Amino acid sequence: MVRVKKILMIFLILLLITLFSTSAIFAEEIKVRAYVNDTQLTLGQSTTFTIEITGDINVKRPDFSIPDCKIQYYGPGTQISVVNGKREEVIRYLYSLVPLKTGVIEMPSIKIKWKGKIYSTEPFKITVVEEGEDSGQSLEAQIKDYVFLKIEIPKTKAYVNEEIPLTITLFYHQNIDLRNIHYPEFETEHFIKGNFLEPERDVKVINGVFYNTINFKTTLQPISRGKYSMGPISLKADLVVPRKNSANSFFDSFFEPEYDLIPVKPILDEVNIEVLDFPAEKPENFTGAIGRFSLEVSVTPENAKVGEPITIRSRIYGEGNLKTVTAPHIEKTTDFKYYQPSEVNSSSIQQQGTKQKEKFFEQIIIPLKQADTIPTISFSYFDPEEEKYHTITKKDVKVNIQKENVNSQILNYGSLSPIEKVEGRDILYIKGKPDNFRKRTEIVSVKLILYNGILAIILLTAFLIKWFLHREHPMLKRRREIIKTTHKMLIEGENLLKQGENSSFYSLLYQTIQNYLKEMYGITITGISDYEIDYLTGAGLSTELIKKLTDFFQIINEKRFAGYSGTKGEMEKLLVLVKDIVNG
Amino acid sequence: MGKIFKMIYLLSGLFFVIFFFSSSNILLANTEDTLNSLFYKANEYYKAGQFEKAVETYEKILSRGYASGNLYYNLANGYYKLNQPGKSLVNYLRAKMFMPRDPDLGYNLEYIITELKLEDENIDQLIPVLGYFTVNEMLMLITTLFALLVGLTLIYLYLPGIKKSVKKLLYIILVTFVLSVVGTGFVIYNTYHSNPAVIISSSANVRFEPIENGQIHFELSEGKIVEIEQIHEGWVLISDPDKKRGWLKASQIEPIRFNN
Repeated sequence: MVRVKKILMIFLILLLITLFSTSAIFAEEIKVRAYVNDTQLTLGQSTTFTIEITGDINVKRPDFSIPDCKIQYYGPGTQISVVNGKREEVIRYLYSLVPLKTGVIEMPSIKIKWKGKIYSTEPFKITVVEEGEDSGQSLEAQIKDYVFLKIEIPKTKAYVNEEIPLTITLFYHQNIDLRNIHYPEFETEHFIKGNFLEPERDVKVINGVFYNTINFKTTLQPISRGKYSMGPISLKADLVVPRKNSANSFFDSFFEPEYDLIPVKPILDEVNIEVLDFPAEKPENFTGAIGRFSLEVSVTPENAKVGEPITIRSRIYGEGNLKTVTAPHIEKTTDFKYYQPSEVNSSSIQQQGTKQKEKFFEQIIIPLKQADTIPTISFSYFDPEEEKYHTITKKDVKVNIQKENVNSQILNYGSLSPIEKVEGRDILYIKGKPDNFRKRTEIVSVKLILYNGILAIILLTAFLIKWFLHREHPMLKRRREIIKTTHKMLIEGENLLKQGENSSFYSLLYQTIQNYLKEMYGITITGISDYEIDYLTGAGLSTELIKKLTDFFQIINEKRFAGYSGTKGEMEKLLVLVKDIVNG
Repeated sequence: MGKIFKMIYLLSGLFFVIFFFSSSNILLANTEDTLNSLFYKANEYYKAGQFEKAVETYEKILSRGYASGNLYYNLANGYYKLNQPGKSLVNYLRAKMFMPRDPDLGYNLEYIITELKLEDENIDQLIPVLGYFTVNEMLMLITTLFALLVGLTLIYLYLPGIKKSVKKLLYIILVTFVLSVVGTGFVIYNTYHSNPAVIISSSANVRFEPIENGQIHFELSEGKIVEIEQIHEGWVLISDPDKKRGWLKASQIEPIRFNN
């Protein structure tokens, strides 16, 4: 019994704790904040000080004081609205605030009591200067507290190709009108910058001042390892500055704008980012995917015959840089013929409140044998948060491949046997990559023709060089021709000798020697005298040869005067003498 | 002699300059990116099932004056998906001139021939007699043989020590070279002397005269292959494999080769 009571007590206590904590979780809260219209004031200038309470318009006005300032209560302002089906109540207590001294004045935290709880506003500071005091600052310097940029980057250390989300926020004071706001600009030499999303407008309070904000969201993808500075970041906009009494008459205000647009360019300093390379020991089929991904695989058709194409459809989805995701790896076996995978489409999907992306790939394989599973499919990626590689493997994906009854078109391609049309077939898929393009009307490759032309020139040059190096000297050639002609004449002389034509024989020999001496040495001789001997000696003839010439001319002249009579033996001797002279 | 050498060097220089500036690689340097991106774009259309846009984009590449085996293959696939087997066949045949040994092309070509019931037509006659190689592959063989021939000739002329040992090989290469040149020349002549075309309309009436109401001589179905003999004011004089001749409208027929 005691034991039962103990258990009941513990149970009650636990129940009470649960009830209280639950009620605490679901208890309504209020939000409080305090702000001024202007944080830069001159001495004696008044501004509006507001205490804003969101959640309950019945919250009492707090009691407070601010040192070195005169505070006067104006009154409350309430607002009730319904946003997304939820009722929102706001009450604002408005005060006039006049600073009583120059310098920086601290606005303290205001305490508000509600339902037994104390809520506090954020303290902030205002700056008070003497009236007429001019800091001599430029417009940019003056407005830097009214228009400025802030950056949100979740990490300054990332891996190559990792997508880093980047948010650049433009803040501008609620009393400032900005027009023609451009997108932020910055140098990204070592990064690929993504497209900016649609800018988001909001309102924020900083140091008690209301700012309108515009969020510009994009991504950065580092492309190489190293330490880099990104920026500075700047943004162009036009500040609307009202003109003072610019219109001279009522009608002028219709033709002239009452304000000027002054360009402003808030700038944000550089951001340093360190880019790391992937760790070593990468998985074998890792191709650079970075993020956190999942893999799904499906096969169509699930029932097929040998030789019929099967499509493997892979879906890779998750968070990360989808651009780095390539088709999953499929194990190569001899049981299948493989075609190049191709990407089908990719998209961004909302899943469980987070924006995820997906990519689809299709790959055609053709079974060459009966099988009940497709080859193993795997996909590797690097998780930058865990700083680890992961490999997703899909083994034993079921498929039913039956043996073909008739000869498969693929297997028998190239054979001469007649092919029967098979029902349920279709053409094979397109080629994923372009081939080498060439001119459509080009019959043969111009390059090949030119190569052959160059080879022909080389060959021709080789022959010409060979000929040039081994050609005869013109003089030698000439000599050879003369000797050839002379020999022809001597053959004719032999014939005349055989025929017994004495007169013609002697005339021919005489003509032969004269011709020979004229062609070879440039001299016409009818007889040998000292002059001819000197000439022929000077031409390089030997004494013996000159003697033979002398003998020849002596004999021939004798025969001429003797009426060309002579024995056959004499004629033969003379012929031999002439041959000796010519061959000399 | 000096003049002859000067002329040789000038000719060589001219060849190199022409080669450098007319090299298809240099010319294509900037256009290849554009052609490749059009190709990939067309593929995306195809994958998305937008076959008309895919075909249009492939044709854009062709209209720029460039072609490749894969381009014709994909274009043929596109036309097939658009239910135009005649145009599909003509582009498969064009692809075969670029890549005669591609198994996918062989499969698809065979498939479409079967579908068009053209098994009895001697399609291979249309493509070079040496149907297993392209004309450029034959030219590459000739170039290789010629290079060997030049090398051996240089050895024969200038290295008398090993002249005798290369003589036999030189003669063999020379004979092979001459035969290759003759054979390729014959193939090129035969190939480009003819003008084959494919009927691309579902049926085509071949008339005795090139006029609208000319007497119909015979009819040809889509995919039939004919020979173009003459072109006259939007009409084409063709002859079929049985040597029957007649006139067809030019829009009903598409030549396989673009150089005509």
